[in-house]
Amino acid sequence: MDATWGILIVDDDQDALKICAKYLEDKKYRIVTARDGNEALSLFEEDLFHAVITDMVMPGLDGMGLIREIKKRNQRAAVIMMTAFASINTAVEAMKAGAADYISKPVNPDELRVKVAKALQQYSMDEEFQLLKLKAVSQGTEEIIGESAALRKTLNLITLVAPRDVPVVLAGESGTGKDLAAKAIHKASSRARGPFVAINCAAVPETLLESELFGYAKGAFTGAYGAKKGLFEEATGGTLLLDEIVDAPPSIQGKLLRVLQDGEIRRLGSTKSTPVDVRVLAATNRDLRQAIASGQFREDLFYRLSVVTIPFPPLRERKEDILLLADHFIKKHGPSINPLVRGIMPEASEKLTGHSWPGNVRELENCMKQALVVAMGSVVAAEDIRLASVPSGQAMTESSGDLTALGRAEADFYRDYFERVMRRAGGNVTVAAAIAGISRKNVYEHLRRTGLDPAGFRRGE
Amino acid sequence: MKGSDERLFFEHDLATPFNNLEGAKYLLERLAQDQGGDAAEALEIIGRSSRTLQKMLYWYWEIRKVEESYEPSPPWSARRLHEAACKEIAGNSLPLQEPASRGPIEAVTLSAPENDLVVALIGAGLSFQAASGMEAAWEICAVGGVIRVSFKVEGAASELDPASFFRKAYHPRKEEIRGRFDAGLPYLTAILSKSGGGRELAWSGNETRLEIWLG
Repeated sequence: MDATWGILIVDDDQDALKICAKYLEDKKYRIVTARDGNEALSLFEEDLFHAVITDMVMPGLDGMGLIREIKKRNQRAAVIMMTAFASINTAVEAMKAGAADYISKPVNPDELRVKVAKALQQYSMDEEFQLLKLKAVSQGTEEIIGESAALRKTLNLITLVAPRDVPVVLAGESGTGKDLAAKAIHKASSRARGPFVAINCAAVPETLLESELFGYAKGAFTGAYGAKKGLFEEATGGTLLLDEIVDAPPSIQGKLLRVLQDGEIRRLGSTKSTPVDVRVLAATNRDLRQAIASGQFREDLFYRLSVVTIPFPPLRERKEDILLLADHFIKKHGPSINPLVRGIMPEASEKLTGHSWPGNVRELENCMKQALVVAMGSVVAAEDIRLASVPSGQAMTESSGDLTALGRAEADFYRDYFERVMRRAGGNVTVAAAIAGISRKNVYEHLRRTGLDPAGFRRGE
Repeated sequence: MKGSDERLFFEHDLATPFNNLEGAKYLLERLAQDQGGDAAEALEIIGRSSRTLQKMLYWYWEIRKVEESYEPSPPWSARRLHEAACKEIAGNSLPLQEPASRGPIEAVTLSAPENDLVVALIGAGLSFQAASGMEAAWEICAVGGVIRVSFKVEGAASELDPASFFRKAYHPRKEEIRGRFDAGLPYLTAILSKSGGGRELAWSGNETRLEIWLG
């Protein structure tokens, strides 16, 4: 079993280090030791430690300095000060610097274990609180659902980044929740009261994109009868999401770079610059470094935008979230599509978790909507789940993937639905019309289109 | 360095061997209970801890002696300070340069006990050298009727803040102190407080000095 918690022990006395490590021997703990503050800091930067137990008097960086440096790097890391200085002043100073607790030498092993367990429990609660906070701020847009380690890592990053007013790149395949995350970041930032504005750079022609982003002056082009604000100005005081940033043409990329550098825009046809106060988030479903290598994306813009890059794991890499999401979509869409459905059959669950979900969460949501439509009982059965037949592990792009799935889904859906209805009705078109809630004429029309023969069902085929 | 700080450092260093002895006991208890203790490890810890305690108690004892029963000696020429320092360094093969002398040092008389003062100066020099991590140049000279002793290294303190450097000089790591010179700078401080004089850590440009005035 892998150790759950990383603990770093720091003391300039080798024996004290060994003893402290012995006191904490436990399968749950991964113990690493350091002889002074500087060594401890290097180790802390290289690895994940949930708790640090440090001596106070050490050569070089001392315990108090180490607490401060650790807190700069990870606010949640629990630091326990271990020293002979059993004075109130030292304890107060250590707590002010961010220590979680304080233990006097000679160390009592039971007391140490209790204090470490308590500090780690606090760490865990802080982490949960941050996630809940993020979920709370993302309410009202839509929740980001999942409990997998991969998603938690992403959520942690979002929580850390949201309050810091820096550009962020959201990178991941289509349908992984980048747009939800962008809204959550906005809502958790100091700009939450300001506007959230989004534009898909791939969906707007180059000529329009410039005026959309930067606005235009009166008379800037034929038909510009009045001045118009661009999205940067619209988003002032708030957040601007540039979706599919790689598809922004080179001329626009250059202008975006200037906005990020100078904090001001110039409307099309104007000679005057206007200051803008906007946090820029950029989303991409492609690898920006590859786009730079192929000359499609400016490297200088990349460095301006990617102060922090948040990766979004595809659904196939967080399979443990699939059923949570499926259940969420039943609750979300069930009331309007099929209120009778309350859950999923085990076989249907297996089918869902066995699929590679190239269209990610969006594809799963569409699939569950379809399942709700065709489900006959109170649970979604395996045959209610219609999956796009894309080879496992192969991602599809948003444009081709979703259109293909929907086109095929429509035909598949009607055939599947009327096959089930006719079977349930024993081939009786009148009964089938009652089940489907449509006229007999319409049932006949659907049977004709789908190539189904009512007589076949009467014969029990 | 305030006296209270000095006592806190002493308390800290004293707590470590006691802490380790408790740890050794824990290891032996685990062994007795067949829970994987380590007897060899425990014995080594006990040995090291008792040696540390011995050193620390010597340190504390020497300083207390100066504080409580200091007796000035009849005036003696500072020339003997230079000679005695050279003899101690050579006789004990200490990793410290012999002091250079400058000016009419023989004309200045001192009242601190000769042997104690020499040991204290050498201990302070070793502490200073250990803190800087460099070999120190040592000079004894007469300036305006007093003796100025200086230990000097090039550039060492520029990378450390003064408080941190002084604490390292004042409170050397255990493995770097030796025998009766263990008491180091705190011992010198105690003697100076009784016999008159002072000490200061100073740096300018690319040079760090421990300056001591006697007499």
